[in-house]
Amino acid sequence: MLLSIKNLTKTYSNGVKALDDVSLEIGAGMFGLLGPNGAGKSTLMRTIATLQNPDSGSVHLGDIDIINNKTELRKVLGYLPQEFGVYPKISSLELLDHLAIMKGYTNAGERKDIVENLLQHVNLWDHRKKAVSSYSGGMRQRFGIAQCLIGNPKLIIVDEPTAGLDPGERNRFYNLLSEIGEQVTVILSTHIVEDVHELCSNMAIINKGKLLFHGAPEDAIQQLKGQIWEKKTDKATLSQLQQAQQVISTKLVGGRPLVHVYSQTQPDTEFVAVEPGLEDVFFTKIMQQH
Amino acid sequence: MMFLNFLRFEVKYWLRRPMPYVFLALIGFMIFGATVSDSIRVGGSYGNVFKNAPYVIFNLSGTMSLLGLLIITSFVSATALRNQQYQFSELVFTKPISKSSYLLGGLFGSLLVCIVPFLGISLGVLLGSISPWIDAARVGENTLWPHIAALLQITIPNIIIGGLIIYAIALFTRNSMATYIGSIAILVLYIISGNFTSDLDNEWIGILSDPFGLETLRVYTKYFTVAERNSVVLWMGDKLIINRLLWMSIAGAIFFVAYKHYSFQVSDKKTSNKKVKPENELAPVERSNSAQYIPRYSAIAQLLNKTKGEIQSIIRTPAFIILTLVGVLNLGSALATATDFYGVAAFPVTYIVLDLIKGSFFLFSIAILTFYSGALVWKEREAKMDEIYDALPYPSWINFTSKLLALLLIMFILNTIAMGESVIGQALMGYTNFEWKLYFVDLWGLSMLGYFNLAVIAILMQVITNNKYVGYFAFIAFLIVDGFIWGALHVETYLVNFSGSPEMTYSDMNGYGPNVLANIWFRSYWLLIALLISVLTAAFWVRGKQINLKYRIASAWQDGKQFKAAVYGLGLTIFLVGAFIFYNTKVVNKIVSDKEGEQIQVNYELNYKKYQNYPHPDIIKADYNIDLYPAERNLVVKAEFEIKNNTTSPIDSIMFSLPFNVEADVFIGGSQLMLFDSTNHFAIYKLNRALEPGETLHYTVNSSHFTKGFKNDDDFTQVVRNGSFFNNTEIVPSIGYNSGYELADRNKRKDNNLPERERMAPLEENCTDNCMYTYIGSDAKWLNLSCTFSTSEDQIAIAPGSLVKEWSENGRRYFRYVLEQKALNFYSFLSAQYEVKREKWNDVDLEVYYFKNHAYNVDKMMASMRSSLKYYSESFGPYPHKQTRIIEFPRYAQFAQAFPGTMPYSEAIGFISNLEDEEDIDMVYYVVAHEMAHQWWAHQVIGPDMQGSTLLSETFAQYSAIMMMEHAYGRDQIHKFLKYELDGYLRGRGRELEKEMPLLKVENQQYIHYKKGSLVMYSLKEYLGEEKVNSVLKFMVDSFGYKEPPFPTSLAFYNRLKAETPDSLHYLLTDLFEEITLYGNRCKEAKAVKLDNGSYEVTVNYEFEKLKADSTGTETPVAINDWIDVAVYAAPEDGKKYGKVLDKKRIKVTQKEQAVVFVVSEKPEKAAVDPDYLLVDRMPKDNEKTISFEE
Repeated sequence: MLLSIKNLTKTYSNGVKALDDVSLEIGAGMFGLLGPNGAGKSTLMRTIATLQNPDSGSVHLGDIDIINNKTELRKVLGYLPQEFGVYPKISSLELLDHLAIMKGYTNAGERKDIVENLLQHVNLWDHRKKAVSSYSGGMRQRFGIAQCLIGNPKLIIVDEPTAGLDPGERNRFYNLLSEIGEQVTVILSTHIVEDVHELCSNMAIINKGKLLFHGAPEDAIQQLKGQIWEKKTDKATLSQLQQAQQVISTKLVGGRPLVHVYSQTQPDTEFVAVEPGLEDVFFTKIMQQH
Repeated sequence: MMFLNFLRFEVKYWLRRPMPYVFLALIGFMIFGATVSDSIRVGGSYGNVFKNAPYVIFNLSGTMSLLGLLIITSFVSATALRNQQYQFSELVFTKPISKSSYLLGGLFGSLLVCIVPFLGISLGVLLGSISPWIDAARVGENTLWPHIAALLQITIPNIIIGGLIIYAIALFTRNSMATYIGSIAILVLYIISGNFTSDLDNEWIGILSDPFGLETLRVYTKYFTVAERNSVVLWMGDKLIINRLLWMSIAGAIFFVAYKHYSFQVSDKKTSNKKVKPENELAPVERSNSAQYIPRYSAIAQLLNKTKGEIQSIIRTPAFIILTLVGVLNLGSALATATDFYGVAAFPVTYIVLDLIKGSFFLFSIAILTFYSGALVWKEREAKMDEIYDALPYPSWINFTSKLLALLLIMFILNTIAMGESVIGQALMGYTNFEWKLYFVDLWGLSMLGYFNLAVIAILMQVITNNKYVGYFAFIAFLIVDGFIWGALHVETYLVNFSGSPEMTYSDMNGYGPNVLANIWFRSYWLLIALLISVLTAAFWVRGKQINLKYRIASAWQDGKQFKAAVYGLGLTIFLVGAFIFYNTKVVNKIVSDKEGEQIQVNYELNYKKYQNYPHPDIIKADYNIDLYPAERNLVVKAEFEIKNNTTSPIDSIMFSLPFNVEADVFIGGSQLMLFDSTNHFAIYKLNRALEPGETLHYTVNSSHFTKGFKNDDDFTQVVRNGSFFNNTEIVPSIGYNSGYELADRNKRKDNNLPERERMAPLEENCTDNCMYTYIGSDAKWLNLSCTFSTSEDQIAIAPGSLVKEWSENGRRYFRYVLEQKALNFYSFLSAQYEVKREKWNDVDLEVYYFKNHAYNVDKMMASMRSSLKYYSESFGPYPHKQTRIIEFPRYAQFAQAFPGTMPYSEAIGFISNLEDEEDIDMVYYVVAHEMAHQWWAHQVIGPDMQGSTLLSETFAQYSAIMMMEHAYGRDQIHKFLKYELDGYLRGRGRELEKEMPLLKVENQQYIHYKKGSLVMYSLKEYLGEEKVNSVLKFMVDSFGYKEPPFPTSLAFYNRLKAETPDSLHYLLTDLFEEITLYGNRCKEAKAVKLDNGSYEVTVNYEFEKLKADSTGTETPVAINDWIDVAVYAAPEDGKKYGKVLDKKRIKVTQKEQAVVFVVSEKPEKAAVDPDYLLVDRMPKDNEKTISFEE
């Protein structure tokens, strides 16, 4: 089913424009939504997840008008919010069971099946009777996915799911996610470029409420070919360099700054051309917005 | 310093949490409630001490430290176990910190914070004492001193003692449940040991064994007079210091042991909070076939499951458990101390128990409701589960509805717990007639309706404000404003008073009474409003991140057709129901506000006082024709009166004061109506021809009361479905100006610029002009009475006199009564479905009319009537009537009253008394004897409206009843009775607002004519002898019984008494009657030696003090030269309270200290001075001393 977002605009009462005429079409598969903190990602996700209304614009999933028919969307939605907690002293089995009822599975036998399957699926079966509040971060996120998957949703939204996970946990989480992404639309919001690169066939970059890019990650990288240059410099000359060139990123390598610059031509001889990564795409798009 | 850092951290941590403030508010509200209202109880009742007296503050502090032990536990236990709970221990224990700073810093920090909730005591007392709801007469001056003293000596030491012990338990067990169990165990042990030590004579055991200091307080204050309770601030008494130091050391020692035992190691016990180990491999699992299931959305199933979750989240919290337990304890203590008057237990009938529940348990339920309304509304958001929930496919109204249902179910559970506890309490007290219907209606019905309204408002406030604490504040502010604003605005209707409906006093006889219909309508009205609020609250619920209230309202309005339909539908229904209520209460009936009622009294006095001394005729004959329709609550009266001009001048006009609750009209042939002021209750008829002295005239009164629709609050309980009881003054106009209509309250008179009102005319010797009327009324002297009284077929109608005819007509029963004797113009009419018990004594018919379930004490009443008739007629003169009746009426009033041959007797005060304990005073026997005595004292001999008159009626009736009891039950019962009377008198003095009068000049003051009267008359009897006293009383009947005026004053009795008393005792008469005399006698020391011949020589050192008090209560010592009893007692036999008198002497006391030597043949146990309470002793408890034996 096609998720079609048209001209979404949202301004908060404090004047922050969280969404500025955003239009997007998202099909099946993993879709990455990339943007720095405060870009409007969460606003967009919450709007799609029926938690917030836009000032204007529309969102449709297939025939479902999300803004005016929230309940219909909720029936096919799986949502893992950016931050979530759980009630103390409640086991994952109990909590999933409860959430399954709230998702409409009111037949006890069926629900038991669903919950047990999910717990096995996310590999929490052995810990099903332990309080979710005692889980490690990775287990908790897997629980989050389990609750997300109740009822075979057609649209799954996961907001910043890997924050605070160690690499091993992150990998396990991604395996789980990509497996799901084969069948339904999964929107993954993140500020970690790598995540998108590894998982998503399609992506969008937003910043300050505006859509900066929409397409396949490979296309974006292709477009930048031959325009990204890098140079090792020192801290003293860094600011000078920033004045002279369109510096898109600076990171420390072995204690010295490594600068990536966007330029049609080689800025100077000390710069070497590099194969652009998705990160360069991200920073370039953001830099270009300014 | 590290210790200080930990301490500071702890205090800061708690002060940022809601708990200290929640408990502060709870205690504050409890104490405030107990201060402004007598029906809210914290521990015992106040008696007559000021509501903010130092004594009260000390006692409240003591009681609260008992209940507050659980509060202390919740702080201390959380502090001790916090790091463990949040898996922080590893972090803390690996830091280079010292154990002592860590433990002590935390401990003292939390102890400091514990003080915060207890400040609610002072807050509650101070706010309560200045609030507009409190009777200003029950408040003394507010000073900070007693609060500080109580805090330093009671509260803080108790926090330290309790805190140290609980902290020690926490350190030992590292388990929070164990600390709560520990604190409950301390309370249970305390209660058990309290019962055990209370009978011990040695007060030191009591003092030392009580960790909370309550017993020490009791020891200090037990001899306090009311004045002392109101003024003395206890400060560092040696007993208190010893108690406090002892227990602080014990607690300190316990803590020290725990401290030594505690090591900085993580508990190796497996807890549920222990982290689970993350596994390494994620086994790939095939997606299951569970995908085939199709969701079946069922809002009901979702609602039920969500509600279940909400309830669990409440029940699992310690706050809920604590509040419930405290409520259960408070109700338990209320049940255990529920006694009737004079220490006699009433049968704990269900309506009494229900009142106790309301006073002692509901407060905690409301605290739980308030606290959890916020907790539930914020549950998902506080757990950060809101985004997951809000995106789930369930209808939004489930959010609101599940939380409301959960709150209500919790209330239901609490009410059921209270019910269970009460039923157990009833069973333990031997009462097994559980009136389940009453429990169900009250606890599962009416109070749940109230909770529904409250819960809806509490949730609404949370949803509107969208801030938990602002929501709490808004809710409480709403309740407070709603509580006083309508009174302040003089708007008196339950249509505006949130969740308001008229009180329904349950009576076994008359069920829920006259306000049932009004309740149905008002409760429906408020239920509808609560439903409307529910619909709005559900629609405005915050779902998702849309928190702007305006937006929520707007979108609710745009979105839902059903919502609009519900709002309009409910709105219209509320309007219609409200309009119907308005029509009934304001159009068909009227609401007379307090202010308006007051204004009527003021106008009456201002306009018509000038007629007070206008000459008027006397009623000499009255014939009533009363038709009562109990089912409809209608009353039609036609009464014929014959009046006579007993004055020496012609009377040209007759004035009437009109009754309040009936429409009355007067017809006098040959007269002109000059004024008929139905608003201010006065009418004037001018006679065409003046009524000459000695002439008579007839007039007719037509009056009626028709119950139409329902009233805002129907307090006309005189006419009800079953158990109507009214007297003549309530149904027909009285002749002339009636000073009883005047505004009596001194402050209100001042507010209305009325002059100060003299309570009573001064006592006159040889009184004539001012003694032409009795204090009962000035429109008749003695009259002849007859009455035809009809009622419905199932009821018996009773008026004074002999039943001369009874017949049925048109499905109604008619009774014709004729009173053979003359009567005062004051008589009763009753009608109800009665069982009747009949007996005969000589020619007199004895009858008890009672409700079928109240047969418990009927035989006792019969016995009392029989013996009264015998004793009184032998002692004072023949019984004047042919019948004597006791007639039960519903508990809207709680008294028994004597009318000619007829004694209406409230169902609340004797019909349900539990007289099974033989040691208790037989109150039924006593009350019947008292009312029977009024057939001589009041209905034969009665004084004018003047000082001292009630001595002739009430005091003599008390004396007669005491003599009856002494003959039937012996001196021990009288001893007990007089102890209560003495206590009542001393308390009454403390509460006197104007002047305490000596008995001879009593101004209708109950504590004087009843309580002091009993003491004085018994003393008289002991010094002069029963025969002598009775002969003086007989003289009164012989000289004044049924005689024409002038009516006798108290001096008529006193002068005769004086003449009959030997000169040597004249001082006693002066002390007892003319002056206010008090004693401070005590037994200082009592020693005994066994003599060679086997008998014992007892030497007792007595201390004597005699005081005279003036009318303001100022006491001055005077020289003593009195005859006073001293005695020595043996130990009481098993099961008895008092021992045998071994020797008793009446000695002449002339010195402050005097030693007396007794030689007795048996082993003595106690020595006493004035053992029979013949003298008013300010501290009767120290009149006794246990004898110590010397070798």
